[in-house]
Amino acid sequence: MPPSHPDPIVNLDNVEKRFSAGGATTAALSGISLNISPGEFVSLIGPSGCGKSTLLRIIGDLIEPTAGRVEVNGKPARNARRDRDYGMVFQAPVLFDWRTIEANVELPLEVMGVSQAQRRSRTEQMLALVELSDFGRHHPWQLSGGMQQRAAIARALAFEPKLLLMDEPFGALDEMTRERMNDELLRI
Amino acid sequence: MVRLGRFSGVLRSIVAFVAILVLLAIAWEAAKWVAGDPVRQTPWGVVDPPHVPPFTIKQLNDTNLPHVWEVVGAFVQPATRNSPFSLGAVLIDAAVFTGRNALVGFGIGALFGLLLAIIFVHSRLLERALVPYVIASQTVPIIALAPMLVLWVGTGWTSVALVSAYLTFFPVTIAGIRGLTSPDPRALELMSSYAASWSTVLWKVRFPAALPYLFTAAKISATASVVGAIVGEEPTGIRGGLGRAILEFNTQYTTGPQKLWATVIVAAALGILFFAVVRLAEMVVLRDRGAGEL
Repeated sequence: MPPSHPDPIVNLDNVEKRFSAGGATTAALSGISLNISPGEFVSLIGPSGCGKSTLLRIIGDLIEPTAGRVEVNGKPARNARRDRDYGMVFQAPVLFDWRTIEANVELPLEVMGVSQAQRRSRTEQMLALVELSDFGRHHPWQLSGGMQQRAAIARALAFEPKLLLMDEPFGALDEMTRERMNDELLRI
Repeated sequence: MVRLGRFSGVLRSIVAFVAILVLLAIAWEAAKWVAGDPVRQTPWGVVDPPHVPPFTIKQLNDTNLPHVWEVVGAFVQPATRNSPFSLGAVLIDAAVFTGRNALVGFGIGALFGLLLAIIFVHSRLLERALVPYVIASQTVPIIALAPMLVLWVGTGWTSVALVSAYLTFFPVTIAGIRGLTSPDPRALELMSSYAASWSTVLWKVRFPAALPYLFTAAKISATASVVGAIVGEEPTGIRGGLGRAILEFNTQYTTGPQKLWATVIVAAALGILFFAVVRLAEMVVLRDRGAGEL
């Protein structure tokens, strides 16, 4: 475990999130303060519905906090998102059925305007990393849940984000696959 | 059958279609045999003494329901008393004429429908404001709207195409809205995390996701565009299409009912052709998606 870095990559200061639905307000998060240093592997653990997904999405600037400050990579969360500083993996792989696995992994690079040659080589690297090199030409529905999730991780890492946010990435998989995936993840 | 792959389904559909057609023809003649007009002449020779059916139902007499062989025979007979052309040739020409207008109408209607769907998906305000008018537009009978269209745009094939487009765009818009909003919200969150613009999201996520829905609407619109092109020929007074043929043979019905029936068959065939082309395009474009048949 490296010593605490002076510049945290994630800095949450008294973050609050309240949801109001039909007159009733739920406080999903309250008084969350957190520092995460670069290179750290942090797990948020808690019962379901306790706000883990909400917190993750606040860090990723997909939801706005009701109060508090969010800094990612030394900038406000919005700028970090615009600068593509982080990658996301969800509980479901959320791959596009009409694209091959290769094309799915390439997607963020396409959006970011990376040249085709660079996209190709980067995608090959990523698929090799998650051990899906033989399945590049397949379509997502032809792969098992675990393999799809590996492809989703490859996609999240494709553009070398400084931060990787994962929302119960192995929650939808069976026990054995989950054990294996946990080991794989640590390796990556 | 298995070797033909996905086309074995198409083959089976065609065989079933032809089989039903034959059964229909048999039922048609059987009904007339039992309760139609006396039969004196068939293509297979004279019936002597004439067969007199035991019952009489007016709807099955020779004027209301001509014999199947009379309708088929009408195709090779002259179109009108002094015409050098066979009815079949005239109807094929008319079908091409109407088909061209329907194609243009389909293209315009589909494009406009898609544009409308894209606008509605991206602007909640415009959707809420305009959707009631869009729906109302379809409840106004086209018979009333077509003459108005002719007054604004003038006679000629453009107004026919516009009537056709009018009946085409609505299914595309409705299916388009559904399809463009169908992607998993997390897919949209992912695109947000890549800081993708709305046009990138539209092109890379929403539109591909909408394609299956759009093809379903296109099948409905395909036949609607043909109907629109036929109906649009009446107020524009345009000659040379199936609409005009239907009107003319309608006035001549009592002397030659089989001609109108022949025209109706050709119109139906045109609609089926449009549908089949859309279906074929769907099979090609959606071949990688792995879900469902037909």
